[in-house]
Amino acid sequence: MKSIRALFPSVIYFCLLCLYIISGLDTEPAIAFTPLKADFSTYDPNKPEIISGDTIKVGLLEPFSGQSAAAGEISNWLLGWVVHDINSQGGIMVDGKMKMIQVIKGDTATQPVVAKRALQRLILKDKVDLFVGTAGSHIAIIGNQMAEKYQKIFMNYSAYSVHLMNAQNFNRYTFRTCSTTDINAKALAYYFSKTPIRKFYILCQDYSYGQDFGASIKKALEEFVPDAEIVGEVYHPLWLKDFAPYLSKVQASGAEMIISSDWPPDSWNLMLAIDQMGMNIPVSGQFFDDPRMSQNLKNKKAGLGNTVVNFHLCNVETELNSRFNKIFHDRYKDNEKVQIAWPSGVVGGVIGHFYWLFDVIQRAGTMNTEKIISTWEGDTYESFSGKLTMRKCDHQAVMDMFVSPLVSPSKWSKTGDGLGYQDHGIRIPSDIVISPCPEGLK
Amino acid sequence: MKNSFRKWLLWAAILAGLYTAPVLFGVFELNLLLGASIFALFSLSLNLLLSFTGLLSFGHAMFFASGAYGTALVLTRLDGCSLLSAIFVGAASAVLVALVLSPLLVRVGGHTFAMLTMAFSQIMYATVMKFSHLTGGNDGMSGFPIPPLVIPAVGLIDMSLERNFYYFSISILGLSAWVMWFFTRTPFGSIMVSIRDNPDRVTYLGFNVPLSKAIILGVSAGFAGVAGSVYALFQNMVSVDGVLGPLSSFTPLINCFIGGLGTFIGPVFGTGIGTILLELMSAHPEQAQLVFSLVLISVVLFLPGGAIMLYWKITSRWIVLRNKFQTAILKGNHES
Repeated sequence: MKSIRALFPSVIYFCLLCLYIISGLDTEPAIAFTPLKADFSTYDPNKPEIISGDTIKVGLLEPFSGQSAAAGEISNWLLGWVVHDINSQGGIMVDGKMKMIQVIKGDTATQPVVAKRALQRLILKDKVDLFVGTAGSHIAIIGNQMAEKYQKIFMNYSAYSVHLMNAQNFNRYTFRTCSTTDINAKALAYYFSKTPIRKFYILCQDYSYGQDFGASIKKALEEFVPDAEIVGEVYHPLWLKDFAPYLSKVQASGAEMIISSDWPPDSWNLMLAIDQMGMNIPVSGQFFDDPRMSQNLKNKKAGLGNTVVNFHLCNVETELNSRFNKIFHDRYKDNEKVQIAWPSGVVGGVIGHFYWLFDVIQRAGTMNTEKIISTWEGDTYESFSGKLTMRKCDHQAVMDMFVSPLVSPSKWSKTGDGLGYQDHGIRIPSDIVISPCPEGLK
Repeated sequence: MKNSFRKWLLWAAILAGLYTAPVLFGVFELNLLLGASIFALFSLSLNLLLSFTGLLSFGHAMFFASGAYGTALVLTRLDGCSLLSAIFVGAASAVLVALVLSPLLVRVGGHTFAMLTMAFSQIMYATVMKFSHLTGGNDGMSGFPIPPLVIPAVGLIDMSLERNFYYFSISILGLSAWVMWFFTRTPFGSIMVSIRDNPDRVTYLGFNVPLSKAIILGVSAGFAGVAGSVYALFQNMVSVDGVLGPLSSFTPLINCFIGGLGTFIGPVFGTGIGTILLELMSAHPEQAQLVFSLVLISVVLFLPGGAIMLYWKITSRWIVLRNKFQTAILKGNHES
């Protein structure tokens, strides 16, 4: 009995030790951030929290002035969403410390020279740990070059030209999380193969992205819709104000569908011109679902049948996506200043990709560039609309693609009865749309 | 003697400052200096046309762009092209453009010359966009190889290093400025000034004014081409908005006005002010143009000779005050 009593303190000590270890195990997941955990009702991108000290500095390379400044503001909003979520959970554990994320903006004005200057400032003066961006494939190529020169991670989430990650332009510091012109074109062509639409008119911007998309769509239509007819092909200057001369040609061609790579403000101006000219022709592409554009259309039929292709759509049915949709919609449904009440294509997709980036950093546990590269290469991540995989050979994200025509009334419009996606998005499996690794890359 | 010594001392201090800049500053600040040196050369080339010949060009960027595209094209398409050859091709392209346009440009002056140069610059913009398979159109040209500088008996100097390129760019600016200055001191330089002051009299004296103007245009374009060429090498890219955009021709013009026309130091000074202003306004790029406009209006209204005039006014006042002070001391000594 005495010996049992003598053992008693040891037993208590052992139990306490076990409790300590178990609690220690419990705290580890608490260090890791969980997406969509924060209180987003307080999030306002126009009033960012001032964060200083030992932080993870992320450069946001986007246009904040000039014609496409809206694209920059959207990206700032989306990155801010993720940063708000992670910082409110205490940040990310890297190099043995919990570090908050600090975003530093770099204005490209969508001009290569300005972008280069902004990037030099971000890297050399602001000393960012990594940078993300950017609208415009002609700007992303500068990002590629600078990432390689200064050995900084560059996450490209919105430049789609297929040639950006070919053997000539590939570098191990750039990771592209968005789709490519080839992937988008294949997804669209595959969708059209299931519809009776056969006469297409290609109307794209006259620079690398537009030209690549034009070439990709011709190739994809040939592969998936052999009886398709391309009744016209025109490349217009960037930031065009008057689309009337181009649309007159479209009208004369007898096209049933315009396929366009245009992004704001060109996509907005194109839709406005279609509306003003009283045309009923739909447009398919990646950026023709923008509610900020739809709200200005006067003709009720304008925009109907527009077909959107993207790497994420809010009408894709997954458990995580439903949760995300609800949180996002609750935050913005009554906000009169924000027209985007549902996390539409690019909005939801890019938020998911930012979570992926920070998740990779969290798992790497360091800001060491080489460690981040090795963690990200071949990595798989469960995002809102499905699985994302980072292909090792060319650092291109592989994912299922989604297509949805616009209908009215749509439950996905802000008011619930306006122009928006159809109820459910169409999933196109990645093995149909993905191309093999570019020649010369393993 | 004393003045000459001070002058040499000043030049020595400037040279020492420029030489030690890579040690004193980081890469970012060095890049700013480098960019300023390129635009100073571009402004000086315009100054040759504007201050010394009285020809106001609103399209000088077309020569800068010719230099930049010429160099970028030759480096992209010709393997093994040397650095100096690439710069020579850039300068030659700009001279060629000037000579092609000179039959039209040299017969006019004043507003007509300004408008014609602007129109040709716009034509060049459209041409660059049209031949996008050669020039890259909106994408521009980037990532072309930067060859090393070969100096006999010294060896190869890697121009991809910022420090090396900085010394190279400063040397090009110094050498070009000296050549341009020397050019204005030759008898032909006197003809330039005479054309500015009274072209009819120059004709009466038996000189061929259109031919002289064509030569001046060629020389000015050549130096603008050199600036464009160095710019392409420094940025390792050329984009249509960067070299032919709406502000490209006006930037050197504004630099000349802010710094001071009629001198060689004025445009360099003006470029320095412009670079500092641009850097200070970098967080607000859209407001930068407004600030630039206000500075330009202020200079034109209150300081027509430019910032250099302010410097001279201050120094001349200082000399007057110093002389008065010295006279007063001498008087005091004499009385005592």
